[in-house]
Amino acid sequence: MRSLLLSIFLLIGVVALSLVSLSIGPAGNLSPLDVARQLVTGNARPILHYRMLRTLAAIILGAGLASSGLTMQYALRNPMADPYLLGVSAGAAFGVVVVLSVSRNPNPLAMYLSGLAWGTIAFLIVVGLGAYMGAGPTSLIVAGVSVGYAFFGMIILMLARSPAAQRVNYTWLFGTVAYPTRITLWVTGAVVAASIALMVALAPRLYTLVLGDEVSASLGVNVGRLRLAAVSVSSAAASALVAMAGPVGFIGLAAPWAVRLAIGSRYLEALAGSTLLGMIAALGSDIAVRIVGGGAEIPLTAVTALFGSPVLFYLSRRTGW
Amino acid sequence: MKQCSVEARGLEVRAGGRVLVRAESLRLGPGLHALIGPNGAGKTSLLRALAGIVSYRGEVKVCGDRSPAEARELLGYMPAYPEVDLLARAGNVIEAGTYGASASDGEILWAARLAGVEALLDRRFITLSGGERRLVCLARVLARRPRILLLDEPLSFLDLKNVASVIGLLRSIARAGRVVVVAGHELQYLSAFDTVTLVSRGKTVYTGAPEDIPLSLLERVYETRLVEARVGGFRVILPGEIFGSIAGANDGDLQQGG
Repeated sequence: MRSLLLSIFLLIGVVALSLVSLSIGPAGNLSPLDVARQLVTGNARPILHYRMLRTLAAIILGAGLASSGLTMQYALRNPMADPYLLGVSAGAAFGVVVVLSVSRNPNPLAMYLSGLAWGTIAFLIVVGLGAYMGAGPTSLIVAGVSVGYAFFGMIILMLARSPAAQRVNYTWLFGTVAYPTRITLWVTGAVVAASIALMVALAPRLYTLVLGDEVSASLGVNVGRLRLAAVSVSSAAASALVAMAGPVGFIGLAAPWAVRLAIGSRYLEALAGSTLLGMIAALGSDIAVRIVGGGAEIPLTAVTALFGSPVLFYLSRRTGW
Repeated sequence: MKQCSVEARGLEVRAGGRVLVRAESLRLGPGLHALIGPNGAGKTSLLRALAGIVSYRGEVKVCGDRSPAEARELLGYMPAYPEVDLLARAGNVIEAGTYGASASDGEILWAARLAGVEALLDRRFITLSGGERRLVCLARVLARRPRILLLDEPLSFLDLKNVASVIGLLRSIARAGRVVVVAGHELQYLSAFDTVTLVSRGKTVYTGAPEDIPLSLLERVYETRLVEARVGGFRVILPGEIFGSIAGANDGDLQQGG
Protein backbone atom coordinates (compact mmCIF):
# COMPACT_ATOMS: atom_id res chain seq x y z
CA MET A 1 0.00 0.00 0.00
CA ARG A 2 2.75 2.37 1.02
CA SER A 3 4.71 1.60 -2.12
CA LEU A 4 1.64 2.07 -4.33
CA LEU A 5 0.99 5.49 -2.80
CA LEU A 6 4.65 6.41 -3.28
CA SER A 7 4.52 5.34 -6.94
CA ILE A 8 1.37 7.37 -7.60
CA PHE A 9 2.88 10.39 -5.89
CA LEU A 10 6.11 10.03 -7.88
CA LEU A 11 4.24 9.53 -11.16
CA ILE A 12 2.38 12.80 -10.61
CA GLY A 13 5.77 14.40 -9.97
CA VAL A 14 7.15 13.03 -13.26
CA VAL A 15 4.19 14.42 -15.25
CA ALA A 16 4.38 17.81 -13.54
CA LEU A 17 8.15 18.14 -13.99
CA SER A 18 7.91 17.03 -17.64
CA LEU A 19 5.49 19.90 -18.29
CA VAL A 20 7.80 22.34 -16.51
CA SER A 21 10.75 20.98 -18.49
CA LEU A 22 8.87 21.59 -21.74
CA SER A 23 7.79 25.06 -20.63
CA ILE A 24 10.98 26.74 -19.53
CA GLY A 25 14.38 27.52 -20.99
CA PRO A 26 16.74 30.31 -22.01
CA ALA A 27 14.88 30.68 -25.33
CA GLY A 28 11.77 31.83 -23.49
CA ASN A 29 9.10 30.41 -21.26
CA LEU A 30 5.83 28.92 -22.48
CA SER A 31 2.77 28.40 -20.34
CA PRO A 32 1.92 24.73 -19.68
CA LEU A 33 -1.38 25.36 -21.49
CA ASP A 34 0.44 26.60 -24.55
CA VAL A 35 2.70 23.53 -24.41
CA ALA A 36 -0.33 21.25 -24.17
CA ARG A 37 -2.03 23.02 -27.10
CA GLN A 38 1.05 22.70 -29.32
CA LEU A 39 1.42 19.03 -28.41
CA VAL A 40 -2.25 18.23 -29.01
CA THR A 41 -2.52 20.06 -32.32
CA GLY A 42 0.74 18.51 -33.53
CA ASN A 43 1.88 21.97 -34.43
CA ALA A 44 4.90 22.21 -32.18
CA ARG A 45 7.44 24.97 -32.75
CA PRO A 46 11.15 24.01 -33.14
CA ILE A 47 12.00 25.10 -29.60
CA LEU A 48 9.36 22.74 -28.23
CA HIS A 49 10.77 19.95 -30.44
CA TYR A 50 14.18 20.52 -28.89
CA ARG A 51 12.76 20.62 -25.38
CA MET A 52 10.86 17.39 -26.03
CA LEU A 53 14.11 15.68 -27.00
CA ARG A 54 15.78 17.05 -23.91
CA THR A 55 12.89 16.13 -21.60
CA LEU A 56 12.69 12.60 -22.99
CA ALA A 57 16.45 12.26 -22.62
CA ALA A 58 16.18 13.28 -18.95
CA ILE A 59 13.34 10.79 -18.37
CA ILE A 60 15.27 7.94 -20.00
CA LEU A 61 18.44 8.94 -18.19
CA GLY A 62 16.80 9.01 -14.75
CA ALA A 63 14.85 5.80 -15.27
CA GLY A 64 17.88 3.96 -16.62
CA LEU A 65 20.34 5.13 -13.99
CA ALA A 66 18.06 4.43 -11.03
CA SER A 67 16.90 1.01 -12.23
CA SER A 68 20.47 -0.02 -13.10
CA GLY A 69 21.76 1.29 -9.78
CA LEU A 70 19.11 -0.65 -7.86
CA THR A 71 19.82 -3.86 -9.75
CA MET A 72 23.55 -3.44 -9.26
CA GLN A 73 22.96 -2.96 -5.51
CA TYR A 74 21.03 -6.24 -5.36
CA ALA A 75 23.38 -8.16 -7.64
CA LEU A 76 26.49 -7.08 -5.74
CA ARG A 77 24.68 -7.00 -2.36
CA ASN A 78 26.17 -3.60 -1.74
CA PRO A 79 24.06 -0.49 -1.06
CA MET A 80 26.93 1.72 -2.23
CA ALA A 81 26.93 0.18 -5.73
CA ASP A 82 25.96 2.36 -8.67
CA PRO A 83 25.52 1.70 -12.40
CA TYR A 84 29.11 2.73 -13.14
CA LEU A 85 30.77 0.48 -10.58
CA LEU A 86 31.85 -2.12 -13.13
CA GLY A 87 33.86 0.28 -15.25
CA VAL A 88 31.27 1.17 -17.90
CA SER A 89 31.25 4.95 -17.41
CA ALA A 90 35.01 5.25 -17.80
CA GLY A 91 34.91 2.82 -20.74
CA ALA A 92 32.10 4.69 -22.50
CA ALA A 93 33.69 8.09 -21.84
CA PHE A 94 36.94 6.72 -23.29
CA GLY A 95 35.05 5.62 -26.40
CA VAL A 96 33.69 9.14 -26.94
CA VAL A 97 37.09 10.78 -26.37
CA VAL A 98 38.72 8.33 -28.83
CA VAL A 99 36.38 9.46 -31.62
CA LEU A 100 37.02 13.10 -30.75
CA SER A 101 40.77 12.61 -30.89
CA VAL A 102 40.83 10.87 -34.28
CA SER A 103 38.09 12.67 -36.17
CA ARG A 104 38.22 16.24 -37.35
CA ASN A 105 34.51 16.51 -37.62
CA PRO A 106 33.07 13.94 -35.25
CA ASN A 107 29.68 12.53 -36.03
CA PRO A 108 27.42 12.36 -32.94
CA LEU A 109 26.29 8.86 -33.90
CA ALA A 110 29.90 7.67 -34.22
CA MET A 111 30.65 9.14 -30.78
CA TYR A 112 27.59 7.42 -29.37
CA LEU A 113 28.35 4.03 -30.89
CA SER A 114 31.98 4.21 -29.83
CA GLY A 115 30.87 5.08 -26.28
CA LEU A 116 28.45 2.15 -26.25
CA ALA A 117 31.07 -0.23 -27.63
CA TRP A 118 33.85 0.82 -25.24
CA GLY A 119 31.48 0.74 -22.26
CA THR A 120 30.69 -2.85 -23.21
CA ILE A 121 34.37 -3.71 -23.72
CA ALA A 122 35.24 -2.28 -20.29
CA PHE A 123 32.42 -4.33 -18.75
CA LEU A 124 33.59 -7.53 -20.44
CA ILE A 125 37.14 -6.96 -19.18
CA VAL A 126 35.72 -6.48 -15.66
CA VAL A 127 33.67 -9.66 -15.85
CA GLY A 128 36.69 -11.58 -17.18
CA LEU A 129 38.94 -10.30 -14.40
CA GLY A 130 36.15 -10.86 -11.84
CA ALA A 131 35.76 -14.49 -12.98
CA TYR A 132 39.53 -14.95 -12.79
CA MET A 133 39.44 -13.71 -9.18
CA GLY A 134 36.46 -15.84 -8.18
CA ALA A 135 33.37 -14.06 -9.57
CA GLY A 136 31.94 -13.13 -6.15
CA PRO A 137 30.57 -9.61 -5.58
CA THR A 138 33.84 -8.37 -4.09
CA SER A 139 35.95 -9.68 -7.00
CA LEU A 140 33.66 -7.90 -9.45
CA ILE A 141 33.83 -4.64 -7.51
CA VAL A 142 37.64 -4.77 -7.27
CA ALA A 143 37.89 -5.53 -11.00
CA GLY A 144 35.38 -2.76 -11.79
CA VAL A 145 37.19 -0.10 -9.79
CA SER A 146 40.60 -1.11 -11.25
CA VAL A 147 39.43 -1.14 -14.87
CA GLY A 148 37.50 2.11 -14.33
CA TYR A 149 40.63 3.87 -13.06
CA ALA A 150 42.71 2.45 -15.92
CA PHE A 151 40.27 3.92 -18.47
CA PHE A 152 40.20 7.24 -16.61
CA GLY A 153 43.98 7.26 -16.80
CA MET A 154 43.80 6.81 -20.57
CA ILE A 155 41.19 9.56 -20.89
CA ILE A 156 43.38 11.98 -18.94
CA LEU A 157 46.41 11.08 -21.09
CA MET A 158 44.42 11.65 -24.28
CA LEU A 159 43.02 14.95 -23.04
CA ALA A 160 46.51 16.08 -22.04
CA ARG A 161 48.36 14.95 -25.18
CA SER A 162 45.84 15.25 -28.01
CA PRO A 163 44.73 18.74 -29.00
CA ALA A 164 41.84 17.22 -30.92
CA ALA A 165 40.55 15.39 -27.87
CA GLN A 166 40.46 18.66 -25.99
CA ARG A 167 37.40 19.47 -28.04
CA VAL A 168 35.59 17.22 -25.58
CA ASN A 169 33.05 19.30 -23.88
CA TYR A 170 33.61 19.32 -20.14
CA THR A 171 29.84 19.62 -19.70
CA TRP A 172 29.48 16.22 -21.36
CA LEU A 173 32.21 14.76 -19.15
CA PHE A 174 30.06 15.49 -16.10
CA GLY A 175 26.78 14.67 -17.76
CA THR A 176 24.20 16.61 -19.70
CA VAL A 177 21.04 16.01 -21.70
CA ALA A 178 21.62 19.16 -23.78
CA TYR A 179 22.87 17.35 -26.88
CA PRO A 180 20.64 14.39 -27.63
CA THR A 181 19.92 13.48 -31.24
CA ARG A 182 16.81 11.64 -32.29
CA ILE A 183 18.67 8.45 -33.12
CA THR A 184 20.77 8.30 -29.92
CA LEU A 185 17.64 9.03 -27.91
CA TRP A 186 15.66 6.18 -29.47
CA VAL A 187 18.50 3.66 -29.27
CA THR A 188 19.14 4.55 -25.61
CA GLY A 189 15.42 4.48 -24.87
CA ALA A 190 15.14 1.01 -26.40
CA VAL A 191 18.16 -0.29 -24.45
CA VAL A 192 16.81 1.13 -21.17
CA ALA A 193 13.28 -0.22 -21.81
CA ALA A 194 14.66 -3.66 -22.63
CA SER A 195 16.87 -3.62 -19.53
CA ILE A 196 13.96 -2.69 -17.26
CA ALA A 197 11.80 -5.43 -18.85
CA LEU A 198 14.55 -7.98 -18.11
CA MET A 199 14.85 -6.69 -14.54
CA VAL A 200 11.11 -7.24 -14.09
CA ALA A 201 11.49 -10.78 -15.45
CA LEU A 202 14.36 -11.47 -13.02
CA ALA A 203 12.60 -9.77 -10.09
CA PRO A 204 11.64 -12.80 -7.94
CA ARG A 205 15.16 -14.24 -8.19
CA LEU A 206 16.87 -10.88 -7.65
CA TYR A 207 14.83 -10.43 -4.47
CA THR A 208 16.40 -13.59 -2.98
CA LEU A 209 19.88 -12.04 -3.30
CA VAL A 210 19.18 -9.91 -0.20
CA LEU A 211 19.55 -13.19 1.74
CA GLY A 212 23.13 -13.84 0.65
CA ASP A 213 24.49 -16.26 -1.92
CA GLU A 214 24.26 -19.36 0.23
CA VAL A 215 20.58 -19.00 1.10
CA SER A 216 19.73 -17.89 -2.41
CA ALA A 217 21.37 -21.04 -3.78
CA SER A 218 19.50 -23.18 -1.24
CA LEU A 219 16.25 -21.81 -2.67
CA GLY A 220 17.21 -23.07 -6.12
CA VAL A 221 18.64 -19.88 -7.62
CA ASN A 222 21.73 -20.20 -9.81
CA VAL A 223 23.45 -17.27 -8.12
CA GLY A 224 26.44 -16.98 -10.45
CA ARG A 225 24.31 -16.91 -13.59
CA LEU A 226 21.77 -14.53 -12.07
CA ARG A 227 24.50 -12.13 -10.92
CA LEU A 228 26.07 -12.12 -14.38
CA ALA A 229 22.68 -11.51 -16.03
CA ALA A 230 21.82 -8.69 -13.62
CA VAL A 231 25.12 -6.82 -13.93
CA SER A 232 25.12 -7.29 -17.72
CA VAL A 233 21.65 -5.81 -18.07
CA SER A 234 22.49 -2.89 -15.75
CA SER A 235 25.81 -2.21 -17.42
CA ALA A 236 24.33 -2.30 -20.93
CA ALA A 237 21.85 0.39 -19.91
CA ALA A 238 24.59 2.40 -18.18
CA SER A 239 26.84 2.24 -21.27
CA ALA A 240 24.07 3.51 -23.53
CA LEU A 241 23.25 6.29 -21.05
CA VAL A 242 26.85 7.43 -20.73
CA ALA A 243 27.22 7.40 -24.53
CA MET A 244 24.11 9.59 -24.79
CA ALA A 245 24.48 11.95 -21.84
CA GLY A 246 27.93 11.44 -20.28
CA PRO A 247 28.45 10.09 -16.79
CA VAL A 248 25.77 11.69 -14.61
CA GLY A 249 26.59 10.99 -11.00
CA PHE A 250 24.59 10.20 -7.88
CA ILE A 251 21.13 9.39 -9.31
CA GLY A 252 21.99 5.72 -9.74
CA LEU A 253 23.21 5.51 -6.16
CA ALA A 254 20.83 7.78 -4.29
CA ALA A 255 17.43 7.13 -5.88
CA PRO A 256 17.39 3.38 -5.07
CA TRP A 257 18.72 4.09 -1.61
CA ALA A 258 16.08 6.67 -0.81
CA VAL A 259 13.29 4.40 -2.08
CA ARG A 260 14.54 1.35 -0.18
CA LEU A 261 14.84 3.36 3.03
CA ALA A 262 11.28 4.62 2.54
CA ILE A 263 9.42 1.45 1.51
CA GLY A 264 11.74 -1.50 2.15
CA SER A 265 13.51 -3.88 -0.18
CA ARG A 266 10.84 -5.79 -2.13
CA TYR A 267 12.67 -5.74 -5.43
CA LEU A 268 9.75 -5.09 -7.78
CA GLU A 269 8.32 -2.27 -5.65
CA ALA A 270 11.78 -0.77 -5.19
CA LEU A 271 12.30 -0.97 -8.98
CA ALA A 272 9.08 0.95 -9.68
CA GLY A 273 9.81 3.56 -7.02
CA SER A 274 13.48 3.99 -7.97
CA THR A 275 12.72 4.31 -11.68
CA LEU A 276 10.16 7.05 -11.03
CA LEU A 277 12.36 8.85 -8.48
CA GLY A 278 15.27 8.65 -10.92
CA MET A 279 13.12 10.35 -13.57
CA ILE A 280 12.20 13.08 -11.09
CA ALA A 281 15.84 13.60 -10.08
CA ALA A 282 17.02 13.85 -13.70
CA LEU A 283 14.15 16.11 -14.81
CA GLY A 284 14.51 18.32 -11.75
CA SER A 285 18.28 18.60 -12.15
CA ASP A 286 17.98 19.46 -15.83
CA ILE A 287 15.39 22.15 -15.07
CA ALA A 288 17.68 23.50 -12.34
CA VAL A 289 20.75 23.72 -14.61
CA ARG A 290 18.70 25.56 -17.22
CA ILE A 291 17.47 28.08 -14.66
CA VAL A 292 20.87 28.54 -12.97
CA GLY A 293 22.90 28.45 -16.18
CA GLY A 294 20.86 30.92 -18.21
CA GLY A 295 22.26 30.41 -21.72
CA ALA A 296 25.31 28.43 -20.54
CA GLU A 297 25.16 24.67 -20.02
CA ILE A 298 26.07 23.42 -16.56
CA PRO A 299 26.75 19.68 -16.07
CA LEU A 300 23.94 17.72 -14.39
CA THR A 301 26.23 16.10 -11.84
CA ALA A 302 26.72 19.53 -10.24
CA VAL A 303 23.05 19.56 -9.22
CA THR A 304 22.51 15.84 -8.59
CA ALA A 305 25.49 15.71 -6.23
CA LEU A 306 24.92 19.04 -4.48
CA PHE A 307 21.23 18.38 -3.92
CA GLY A 308 21.38 14.61 -3.55
CA SER A 309 24.06 14.24 -0.91
CA PRO A 310 22.30 16.21 1.87
CA VAL A 311 19.01 14.47 1.05
CA LEU A 312 20.66 11.07 1.30
CA PHE A 313 22.38 12.04 4.53
CA TYR A 314 19.12 13.30 6.01
CA LEU A 315 17.21 10.16 5.00
CA SER A 316 19.85 7.85 6.43
CA ARG A 317 19.95 9.80 9.66
CA ARG A 318 16.18 9.86 10.00
CA THR A 319 15.76 6.17 9.43
CA GLY A 320 18.49 5.37 11.95
CA TRP A 321 21.15 4.03 9.59
CA MET B 1 1.46 -37.44 4.66
CA LYS B 2 4.27 -39.65 3.35
CA GLN B 3 7.19 -39.66 5.75
CA CYS B 4 10.32 -37.92 4.59
CA SER B 5 13.95 -38.55 5.33
CA VAL B 6 17.34 -37.30 4.27
CA GLU B 7 19.99 -39.87 3.46
CA ALA B 8 23.68 -39.70 2.62
CA ARG B 9 25.64 -42.64 1.20
CA GLY B 10 29.36 -42.52 0.50
CA LEU B 11 29.15 -38.74 0.81
CA GLU B 12 32.33 -36.72 0.49
CA VAL B 13 32.70 -32.93 0.38
CA ARG B 14 36.05 -31.61 -0.82
CA ALA B 15 37.58 -28.15 -1.22
CA GLY B 16 40.99 -27.43 -2.67
CA GLY B 17 41.91 -31.13 -2.70
CA ARG B 18 41.12 -31.50 1.02
CA VAL B 19 38.28 -33.64 2.35
CA LEU B 20 36.05 -31.41 4.50
CA VAL B 21 33.65 -34.12 5.56
CA ARG B 22 32.81 -37.73 4.79
CA ALA B 23 29.66 -39.64 5.75
CA GLU B 24 29.56 -43.31 4.74
CA SER B 25 25.97 -43.91 5.70
CA LEU B 26 23.61 -41.51 7.39
CA ARG B 27 19.82 -41.60 7.46
CA LEU B 28 17.76 -39.05 9.34
CA GLY B 29 14.01 -39.63 9.41
CA PRO B 30 11.26 -37.56 11.02
CA GLY B 31 12.44 -36.20 14.38
CA LEU B 32 14.79 -33.70 15.95
CA HIS B 33 18.44 -34.47 15.24
CA ALA B 34 21.55 -32.90 16.72
CA LEU B 35 24.70 -32.60 14.63
CA ILE B 36 27.57 -31.94 17.01
CA GLY B 37 31.34 -31.82 16.85
CA PRO B 38 34.28 -29.49 17.51
CA ASN B 39 34.88 -26.29 15.52
CA GLY B 40 36.00 -27.12 12.00
CA ALA B 41 34.98 -30.78 12.27
CA GLY B 42 32.77 -30.58 9.18
CA LYS B 43 29.23 -30.01 10.53
CA THR B 44 28.52 -27.04 8.26
CA SER B 45 29.96 -28.81 5.19
CA LEU B 46 27.74 -31.82 5.89
CA LEU B 47 24.68 -29.59 6.31
CA ARG B 48 25.52 -27.73 3.06
CA ALA B 49 25.83 -31.01 1.19
CA LEU B 50 22.45 -32.19 2.54
CA ALA B 51 21.02 -28.82 1.41
CA GLY B 52 22.59 -29.31 -2.02
CA ILE B 53 24.50 -26.04 -2.10
CA VAL B 54 28.01 -27.47 -2.36
CA SER B 55 29.24 -30.05 -4.82
CA TYR B 56 29.85 -33.49 -3.36
CA ARG B 57 30.73 -37.03 -4.31
CA GLY B 58 28.43 -39.86 -3.38
CA GLU B 59 24.69 -39.70 -2.87
CA VAL B 60 22.25 -37.50 -1.01
CA LYS B 61 18.62 -38.53 -1.23
CA VAL B 62 15.72 -36.42 -0.02
CA CYS B 63 12.24 -37.84 0.66
CA GLY B 64 12.81 -40.97 -1.40
CA ASP B 65 14.90 -40.79 -4.51
CA ARG B 66 15.31 -37.09 -5.20
CA SER B 67 18.55 -35.17 -4.99
CA PRO B 68 18.52 -31.93 -2.94
CA ALA B 69 18.59 -29.90 -6.17
CA GLU B 70 15.40 -31.67 -7.29
CA ALA B 71 13.67 -31.19 -3.95
CA ARG B 72 14.22 -27.48 -3.20
CA GLU B 73 10.62 -26.93 -2.17
CA LEU B 74 10.99 -29.58 0.55
CA LEU B 75 14.16 -28.11 2.08
CA GLY B 76 14.67 -25.20 4.45
CA TYR B 77 18.30 -24.24 5.06
CA MET B 78 19.57 -21.72 7.60
CA PRO B 79 23.28 -20.82 7.51
CA ALA B 80 25.29 -19.96 10.61
CA TYR B 81 26.25 -16.53 9.23
CA PRO B 82 23.54 -15.00 7.04
CA GLU B 83 24.96 -12.40 4.67
CA VAL B 84 21.86 -10.25 4.56
CA ASP B 85 21.78 -7.02 2.50
CA LEU B 86 22.37 -3.93 4.65
CA LEU B 87 19.12 -2.24 3.59
CA ALA B 88 16.82 -5.28 3.84
CA ARG B 89 14.20 -5.37 6.58
CA ALA B 90 13.35 -8.42 8.67
CA GLY B 91 10.05 -8.74 6.77
CA ASN B 92 11.96 -8.72 3.47
CA VAL B 93 14.19 -11.53 4.72
CA ILE B 94 11.23 -13.77 5.55
CA GLU B 95 9.34 -12.90 2.36
CA ALA B 96 12.32 -13.27 -0.02
CA GLY B 97 12.98 -16.68 1.53
CA THR B 98 9.64 -18.00 0.29
CA TYR B 99 10.91 -18.00 -3.33
CA GLY B 100 9.68 -21.17 -5.01
CA ALA B 101 7.37 -22.01 -2.12
CA SER B 102 4.55 -19.49 -2.74
CA ALA B 103 3.66 -18.35 0.78
CA SER B 104 0.83 -15.86 1.37
CA ASP B 105 1.19 -12.74 3.53
CA GLY B 106 -0.78 -14.65 6.19
CA GLU B 107 1.71 -17.51 6.15
CA ILE B 108 4.62 -15.10 6.44
CA LEU B 109 2.98 -13.50 9.46
CA TRP B 110 2.27 -16.96 10.90
CA ALA B 111 5.95 -17.88 10.62
CA ALA B 112 7.01 -14.57 12.19
CA ARG B 113 4.61 -15.20 15.08
CA LEU B 114 5.89 -18.74 15.62
CA ALA B 115 9.45 -17.46 15.88
CA GLY B 116 8.35 -14.51 18.04
CA VAL B 117 9.57 -11.80 15.63
CA GLU B 118 6.24 -10.31 14.58
CA ALA B 119 7.16 -6.94 16.10
CA LEU B 120 10.49 -6.79 14.25
CA LEU B 121 9.26 -7.08 10.65
CA ASP B 122 9.78 -3.39 9.79
CA ARG B 123 13.23 -3.21 11.38
CA ARG B 124 16.32 -3.38 9.20
CA PHE B 125 17.95 -6.76 9.69
CA ILE B 126 21.37 -5.37 10.55
CA THR B 127 19.94 -3.25 13.37
CA LEU B 128 18.72 -6.41 15.16
CA SER B 129 20.63 -8.18 17.92
CA GLY B 130 22.37 -11.48 17.17
CA GLY B 131 19.58 -13.47 18.82
CA GLU B 132 16.84 -11.56 17.00
CA ARG B 133 18.61 -12.21 13.70
CA ARG B 134 18.65 -15.95 14.41
CA LEU B 135 14.91 -15.86 15.11
CA VAL B 136 14.17 -13.92 11.90
CA CYS B 137 16.21 -16.47 9.92
CA LEU B 138 14.28 -19.27 11.60
CA ALA B 139 11.00 -17.56 10.65
CA ARG B 140 12.27 -17.38 7.06
CA VAL B 141 12.77 -21.15 7.03
CA LEU B 142 9.40 -21.81 8.69
CA ALA B 143 7.53 -19.64 6.15
CA ARG B 144 8.51 -22.14 3.43
CA ARG B 145 6.83 -24.94 5.42
CA PRO B 146 9.66 -27.31 4.52
CA ARG B 147 9.56 -31.06 5.19
CA ILE B 148 13.26 -31.03 6.02
CA LEU B 149 14.84 -28.24 8.09
CA LEU B 150 18.64 -27.97 8.01
CA LEU B 151 19.63 -25.41 10.66
CA ASP B 152 23.21 -24.34 11.29
CA GLU B 153 23.60 -23.11 14.87
CA PRO B 154 20.01 -21.86 15.29
CA LEU B 155 20.47 -21.63 19.07
CA SER B 156 23.55 -19.36 18.98
CA PHE B 157 23.08 -15.90 20.51
CA LEU B 158 19.65 -16.82 21.94
CA ASP B 159 18.81 -15.96 25.53
CA LEU B 160 17.63 -18.75 27.85
CA LYS B 161 13.94 -18.11 27.27
CA ASN B 162 14.38 -18.17 23.51
CA VAL B 163 16.55 -21.30 23.62
CA ALA B 164 13.74 -23.03 25.48
CA SER B 165 11.03 -21.79 23.15
CA VAL B 166 12.97 -22.58 19.95
CA ILE B 167 13.77 -26.10 21.17
CA GLY B 168 10.08 -26.53 22.06
CA LEU B 169 9.06 -25.23 18.63
CA LEU B 170 11.50 -27.49 16.79
CA ARG B 171 10.35 -30.50 18.82
CA SER B 172 6.74 -29.83 17.93
CA ILE B 173 7.67 -29.44 14.24
CA ALA B 174 9.55 -32.75 14.43
CA ARG B 175 6.55 -34.42 16.12
CA ALA B 176 4.47 -33.33 13.14
CA GLY B 177 6.59 -35.58 10.91
CA ARG B 178 9.30 -33.17 9.80
CA VAL B 179 13.01 -33.87 9.72
CA VAL B 180 14.79 -31.20 11.78
CA VAL B 181 18.60 -31.23 11.80
CA VAL B 182 20.32 -28.80 14.17
CA ALA B 183 24.07 -28.26 13.98
CA GLY B 184 25.61 -26.75 17.10
CA HIS B 185 27.44 -27.21 20.35
CA GLU B 186 24.59 -27.58 22.81
CA LEU B 187 25.69 -30.70 24.68
CA GLN B 188 23.76 -29.48 27.70
CA TYR B 189 20.45 -29.84 25.84
CA LEU B 190 21.20 -33.12 24.04
CA SER B 191 18.28 -34.87 25.75
CA ALA B 192 15.87 -32.68 23.82
CA PHE B 193 16.96 -34.41 20.58
CA ASP B 194 15.82 -37.74 19.22
CA THR B 195 19.23 -38.59 17.81
CA VAL B 196 22.71 -37.18 17.89
CA THR B 197 25.33 -37.42 15.14
CA LEU B 198 28.90 -36.69 16.16
CA VAL B 199 31.32 -35.34 13.55
CA SER B 200 35.03 -35.53 14.20
CA ARG B 201 37.85 -34.44 11.87
CA GLY B 202 35.67 -34.64 8.80
CA LYS B 203 33.95 -37.94 9.61
CA THR B 204 30.68 -38.95 11.21
CA VAL B 205 31.77 -41.16 14.09
CA TYR B 206 28.52 -41.78 15.95
CA THR B 207 24.80 -41.65 15.29
CA GLY B 208 22.38 -42.79 17.97
CA ALA B 209 20.30 -41.81 20.97
CA PRO B 210 21.71 -38.93 23.04
CA GLU B 211 21.37 -41.04 26.20
CA ASP B 212 23.70 -43.66 24.75
CA ILE B 213 26.59 -41.60 23.42
CA PRO B 214 29.61 -42.50 25.59
CA LEU B 215 31.09 -39.63 27.55
CA SER B 216 34.59 -40.99 26.83
CA LEU B 217 33.94 -40.70 23.06
CA LEU B 218 32.81 -37.09 23.46
CA GLU B 219 35.88 -36.33 25.58
CA ARG B 220 38.14 -37.85 22.96
CA VAL B 221 36.54 -35.94 20.11
CA TYR B 222 36.32 -32.60 21.92
CA GLU B 223 39.78 -33.13 23.49
CA THR B 224 38.58 -31.85 26.84
CA ARG B 225 37.31 -33.21 30.12
CA LEU B 226 33.53 -33.33 30.36
CA VAL B 227 31.20 -33.83 33.28
CA GLU B 228 27.69 -35.16 33.17
CA ALA B 229 24.78 -34.70 35.52
CA ARG B 230 21.11 -35.62 35.69
CA VAL B 231 18.53 -32.85 35.74
CA GLY B 232 14.97 -34.10 36.18
CA GLY B 233 16.19 -37.45 34.90
CA PHE B 234 17.71 -35.96 31.71
CA ARG B 235 21.37 -36.23 30.82
CA VAL B 236 23.26 -32.91 30.85
CA ILE B 237 26.87 -32.71 29.63
CA LEU B 238 29.10 -29.77 30.48
CA PRO B 239 32.79 -28.93 30.00
CA GLY B 240 34.52 -29.98 33.20
CA GLU B 241 37.53 -27.75 32.56
CA ILE B 242 35.43 -24.67 33.31
CA PHE B 243 34.76 -25.80 36.84
CA GLY B 244 38.34 -26.91 37.21
CA SER B 245 39.63 -23.50 36.17
CA ILE B 246 37.20 -21.69 38.50
CA ALA B 247 38.33 -23.85 41.40
CA GLY B 248 41.97 -23.30 40.41
CA ALA B 249 41.51 -19.52 40.22
CA ASN B 250 39.80 -19.45 43.63
CA ASP B 251 42.60 -21.48 45.15
CA GLY B 252 45.11 -19.06 43.64
CA ASP B 253 43.23 -16.07 45.06
CA LEU B 254 43.18 -17.66 48.47
CA GLN B 255 46.83 -18.43 48.34
CA GLN B 256 47.69 -14.91 47.22
CA GLY B 257 45.36 -13.47 49.82
CA GLY B 258 46.93 -15.68 52.53
